[in-house]
Amino acid sequence: MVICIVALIVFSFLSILSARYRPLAKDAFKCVFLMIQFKPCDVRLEEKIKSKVTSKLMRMPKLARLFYRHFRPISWIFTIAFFASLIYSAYGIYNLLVFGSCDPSSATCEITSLLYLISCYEIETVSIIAIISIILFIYFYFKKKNIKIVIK
Amino acid sequence: MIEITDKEFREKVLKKSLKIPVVVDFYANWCGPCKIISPLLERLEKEYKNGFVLVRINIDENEETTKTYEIKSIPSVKMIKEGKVVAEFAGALGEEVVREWLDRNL
Repeated sequence: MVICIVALIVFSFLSILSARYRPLAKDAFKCVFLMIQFKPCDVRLEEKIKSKVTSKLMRMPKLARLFYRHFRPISWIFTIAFFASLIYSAYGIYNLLVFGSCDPSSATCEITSLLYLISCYEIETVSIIAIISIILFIYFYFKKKNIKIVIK
Repeated sequence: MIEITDKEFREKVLKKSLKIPVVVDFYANWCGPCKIISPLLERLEKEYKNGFVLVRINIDENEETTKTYEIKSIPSVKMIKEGKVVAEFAGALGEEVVREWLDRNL
């Protein structure tokens, strides 16, 4: 059950890039929607992910067997790791916005050399430019390939 | 805590340091870690009562002092006694470390 929260976020992101993941994102959304209503998840999302990943791992049968047998604890490990990294990232972003550094406790701002450009306040500017560049790149990539994202 | 400029540096830091240790906090408004160390120093100044005088100097507005003291990174904190730098550190250090630094040098 817990995997569907992670699956929703991961597959939602992946479905922007590839249509292959959209059915799984849709199932994950259904699953989360049912979960918040305390209803059982009837889309068999876990089974779908389990078989999909296992089939990918079939090149290494031992690993595939291990994954298939211990899917539940592995999914828990991924869920915990996912939320831990999410919290850690949120903390880093908060520090970046408030203090201008992801780890302000041990940071200094260089005021000489090129490091000035990427230190402290400046890093926010660099981050914003990088994000805008990525968005523009994705936009023009999809436009060039004439790919339209249709949300049903 | 006193905010000073290049012009006031001689009077409010060098001369004052003949009577009482002066801790100078070199900072800039755009510097994130400076926002951590400054309140900590202010708090410690109150706690140490007449142990030292804390002054702040904005490096963007006071380039002369910044050049004189060769400030290469901020926050940069210098302790001045009798007109001379006797101790210094850079970066947003933790409270215990700063406290220990003060105890060792005051």
